[in-house]
Amino acid sequence: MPIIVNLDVMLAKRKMRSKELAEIMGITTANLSILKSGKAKAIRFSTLEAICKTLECQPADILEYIDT
Amino acid sequence: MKKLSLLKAIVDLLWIFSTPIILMLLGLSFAIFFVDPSEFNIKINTINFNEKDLLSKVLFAISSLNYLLIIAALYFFRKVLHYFTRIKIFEETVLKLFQKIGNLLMLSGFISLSISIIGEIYFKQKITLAFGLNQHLVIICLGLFFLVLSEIFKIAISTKQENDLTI
Repeated sequence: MPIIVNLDVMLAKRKMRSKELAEIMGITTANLSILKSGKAKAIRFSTLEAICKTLECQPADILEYIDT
Repeated sequence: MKKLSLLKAIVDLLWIFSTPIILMLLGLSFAIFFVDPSEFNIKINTINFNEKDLLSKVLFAISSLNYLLIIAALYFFRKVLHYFTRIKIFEETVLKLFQKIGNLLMLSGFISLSISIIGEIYFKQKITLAFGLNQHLVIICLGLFFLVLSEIFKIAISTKQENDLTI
């Protein structure tokens, strides 16, 4: 898929662990892992909002389009 | 789920009763070539298979083996119901089983329709055109229904997968 999820990068920048983010957002670590690995087919606005709020960033910092 | 249990019980019962018929049909379809069919007075779908010629015997053997296709479809349907009782509904295996059932029923319907037409022409020397609920057409339609169902399940599986992978 040409959409890349840069959640790892943002987590590293904020020095936060995946487990911590999952706990704050209220989702399971398994679901966060799906999102990080790029296996996710879609992302809800509510999830994106929660990520942006927790990591204090913009959606563009997490999602990236790469033309393949 | 009570309806599913009831359906599974009926299909299981049908399967148990059809198991000895499989052996009987296999034996009969071979035995017919060595015995005189007029001794048994065999009648399938209003056609008497009492002639001593080879075509009559071949038609009888094909219709016996054709019945095995329906029994195979019943076996696969039983497997589908087994998956349903284990709450495994939108699975690839169920989809493939529906396709198999559809193909088997379609094939069986076409074979029985062909035998019926050949039998009418050969034994009764007439061609009949009957309107209404024809059993061969019902089997073909049932086969097509299962094929359509498999297509619907294909869409459902992909929708479920998308839903599961939406975070």
